[in-house]
Amino acid sequence: MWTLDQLFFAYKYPISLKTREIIKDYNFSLDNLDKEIIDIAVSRIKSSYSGKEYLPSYIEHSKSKDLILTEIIAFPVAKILVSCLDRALMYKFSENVSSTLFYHLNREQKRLQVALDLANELGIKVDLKENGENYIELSLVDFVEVSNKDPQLNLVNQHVSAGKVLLNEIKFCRFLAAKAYFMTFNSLQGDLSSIPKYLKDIAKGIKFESAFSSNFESFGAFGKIDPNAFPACMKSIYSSLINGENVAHIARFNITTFLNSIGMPKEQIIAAFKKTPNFDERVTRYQVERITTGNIKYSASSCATMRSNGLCPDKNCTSKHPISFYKGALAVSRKTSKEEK
Amino acid sequence: MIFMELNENAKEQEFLRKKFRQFYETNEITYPSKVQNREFGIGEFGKKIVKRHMSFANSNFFNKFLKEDVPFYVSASASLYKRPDFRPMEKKEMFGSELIYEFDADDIKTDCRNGHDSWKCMQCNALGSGTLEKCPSCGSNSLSLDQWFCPECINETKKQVFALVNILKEDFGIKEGLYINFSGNAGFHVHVENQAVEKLSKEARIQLLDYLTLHEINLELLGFFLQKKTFVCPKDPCFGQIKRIKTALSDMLSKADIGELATYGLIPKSKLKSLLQNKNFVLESLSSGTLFSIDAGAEANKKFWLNILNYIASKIALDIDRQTSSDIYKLVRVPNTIHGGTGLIAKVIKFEDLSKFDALKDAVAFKEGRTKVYITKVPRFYLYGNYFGPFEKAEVELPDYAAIYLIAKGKAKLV
Ligand code: SF4
Ligand SMILES: [Zn+2]
Ligand SMILES: [Zn+2]
Repeated sequence: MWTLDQLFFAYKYPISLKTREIIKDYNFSLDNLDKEIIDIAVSRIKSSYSGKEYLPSYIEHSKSKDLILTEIIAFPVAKILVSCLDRALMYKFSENVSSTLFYHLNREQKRLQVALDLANELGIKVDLKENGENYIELSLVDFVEVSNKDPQLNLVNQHVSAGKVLLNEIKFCRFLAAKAYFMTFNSLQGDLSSIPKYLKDIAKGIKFESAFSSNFESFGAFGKIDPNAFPACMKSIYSSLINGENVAHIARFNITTFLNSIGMPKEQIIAAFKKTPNFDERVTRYQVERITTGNIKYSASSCATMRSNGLCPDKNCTSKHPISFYKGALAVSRKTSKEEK
Repeated sequence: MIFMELNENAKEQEFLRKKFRQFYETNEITYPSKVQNREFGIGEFGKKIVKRHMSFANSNFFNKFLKEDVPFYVSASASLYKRPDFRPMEKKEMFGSELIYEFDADDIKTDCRNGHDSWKCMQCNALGSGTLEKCPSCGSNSLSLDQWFCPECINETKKQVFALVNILKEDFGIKEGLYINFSGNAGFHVHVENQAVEKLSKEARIQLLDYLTLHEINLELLGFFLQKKTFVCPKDPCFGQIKRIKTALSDMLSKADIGELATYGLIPKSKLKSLLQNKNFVLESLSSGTLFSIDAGAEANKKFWLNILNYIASKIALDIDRQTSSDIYKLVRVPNTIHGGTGLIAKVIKFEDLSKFDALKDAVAFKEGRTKVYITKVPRFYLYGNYFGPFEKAEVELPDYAAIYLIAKGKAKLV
């Protein structure tokens, strides 16, 4: 049977082969899942909305194989539930899997060994160089497939030679986390038809405590502002803001120009930053005003720019400009809500 | 309007088509690979794409089409599709994509352009030579440009191609499926066609592009930073972009042009005295991982070196257009076909032959025959080893390749 160590590994690195083997072993059926498993799956999804790593405190020092096993099984269930929900949430969820994985990896006592084991499980070929700070060598192709996820991994700032990228230990962990993001996201968009109805209902019933579902009253250039009609890129930044996460400068800039272009009043834009760590109203006000009413007119970035800044999370979004995406989505949602009436 | 123009040039178009047909009748086009998976687009006189979403079952059909329809321009998709003729694009089902990088002489600023290019302001009618973006007398940016190319500007473009191929081989480790073709006008296309790159996502392609253009390079992350009081850099041996930056820096320092160093380092010349006096030491320490401390405080020293390094990075960054190079739906001229705006062949060149490739000579298709044309106004131009012109309101008999070149450019008519 599985050892406690193996189970912990599978729990911490749910994208690993080990996790899949264990799940296969357990042989569960979607038709009658334990309530416990579903509850855990739901709470995992909710935690991804809050932007915090998923770290149930009861697991950390647990010696109970059952408890850990339940967590392991809950992961694919969470993926199924998320697949029934909207895209923005799929990104958030994948993001959360990625950041949680990084959290665990970074705290491993034998970090390098665990990272190498994980890479090996994922079929990523890695070589170790004798010396130098950047001694972990992997193929350029494997690397660039995921490096756009994390600005610290941008190829232009890596050591590249003969079709290989050389990383230090921490960057290698970041690379694995980025890989986890894409693996998770790509495994989400499955066929929904085989999912039992009761699970779909559970998915629909998940309530998020965020401004997305609260009554958001604000009128902009295209009528009432509707964050649900935001493209994935803006949804993601916006929800990070209102969830009080730390948002990179470039993302702040882009959400500000976007909100300004769709006509959100300045005060409300400032308010959206209120929960961010180290919020300083004076500074935020100055920055927002400079963008919205300053001498230089800053217009919202196009998708090309968003992409090149690593801010476009949706490979399949075919929009050319976040504003036109918003206008389109708004028109659709108004039309359907009229029809529903 | 369009119709009038077409009619106006009917005779010329017929003439060109006849010539182009001769070319396709005697030259089998063996590009692109995987014909059945490509989307094709064709163009007519003065218009590079008038129709796209075309497809051919195999190379024979494609060649037959070229002989019969004789399009003025033929392009094929960089991407491979299951159903290349379906629309919209998503329905084509892409399953791979070549890497193609394009370099154009008109993106590169060279001095020769003042000799052969000219502009006219559509607002105030001012005229001048060279290529400008804005009218110097009224500030308008609606300028009509008359652009020509000579061996000098094409050679400048070639340098970029060499630099790119070097990076593709050395840094990216690409060994197979790399080939180059002349664009048929004034640029070069570098293709990489192999399985390893075929499946790269759009995001991955942007990562490669950013590396080539050093977009948002962060020198401090790469090991150029202030450590205590000295500014350090990666030790030799280095590779990749770091090596190129260090090599360029070492070239700049061995020249020891104080004016250049002060200008790009944004520092008074007086602070660079000991740097210049200790040139050899400066170069040695560069190789062992420190940048010489100039006669200024640590902060000023750091700023100086970062300014110089960023200047170098901007100079060695390749001039590749981010937009077109990352566009996976783009259509690119089919190698070895005729460019309808010049009558030259978009010739495939072996890398070994690139340095001696004389585009405006070696890409000439129509070497025999002479034709009489009426020329409105053209500067002196070079073609097939000869110089012609300048001509203005003149009737001249020219070798076919030159006559075709001018007619295709819309600068001459048959008489
Ligand atoms: S394609 Fe444009 S609108 Fe869509 S997610 Fe990306 S950046 Fe946003
Ligand atoms: Zn003017
Ligand atoms: Zn020239």
